[in-house]
Amino acid sequence: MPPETKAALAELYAQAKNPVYCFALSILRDSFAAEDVMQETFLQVWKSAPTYRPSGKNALTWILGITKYTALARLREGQRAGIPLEDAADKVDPRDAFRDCENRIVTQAMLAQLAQDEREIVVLHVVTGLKHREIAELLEMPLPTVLSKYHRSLKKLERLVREPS
Amino acid sequence: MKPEEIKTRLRDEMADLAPDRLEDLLAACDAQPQEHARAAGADAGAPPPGVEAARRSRRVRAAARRHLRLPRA
Repeated sequence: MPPETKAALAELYAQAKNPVYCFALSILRDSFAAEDVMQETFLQVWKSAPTYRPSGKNALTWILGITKYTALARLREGQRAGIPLEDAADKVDPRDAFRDCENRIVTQAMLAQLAQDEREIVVLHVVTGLKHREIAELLEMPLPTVLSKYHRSLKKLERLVREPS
Repeated sequence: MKPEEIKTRLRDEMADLAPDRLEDLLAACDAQPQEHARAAGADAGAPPPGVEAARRSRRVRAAARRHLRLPRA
């Protein structure tokens, strides 16, 4: 790989790895699987870079789209193992979700108590900085649904942090 | 804790969660440079989607006109 390409990929990785990892974690609730999905996403970005056309979207939205499909493919592997897709992320051993989250109280509450779509919306808005409109597009959900789920999730988190069970 | 504080706290807690596996990624990319170069080369030289089909279609129509001795449309 030419040095300038390597430097560009390293720069992109430094900027986008955390949003990609956190989004994958919000889908999968398993830090090892999220790490694999993060690597697979960047490998896919590298392979697809020659055909990338901005078309009005920011590059992070495009990368997070790859993350979403890679993570959902992971969940489907679980489905093939006999776990329904909608339940696959919730069947993960909670110890896997919290492996890197000791003393991260809000993160733990989010991973443990929010539903998968709520986790995705909260992480995409709060951690990756996507606008609600971009989240609606990425998750293929109506904008009002994204907004109501987001506000409901924040209230839920507020309650959970105040009164941990 | 107010919603704003929840957001700030979550952002701080998740700010450095991702592990750094850049070296693994670069090694994985290096393992397939030819594939990437081929894709880049093919992309640079290839017409946009649909153009080749339109060219083919024009060629077919031109050949049909010549064969049937029809005037240009």
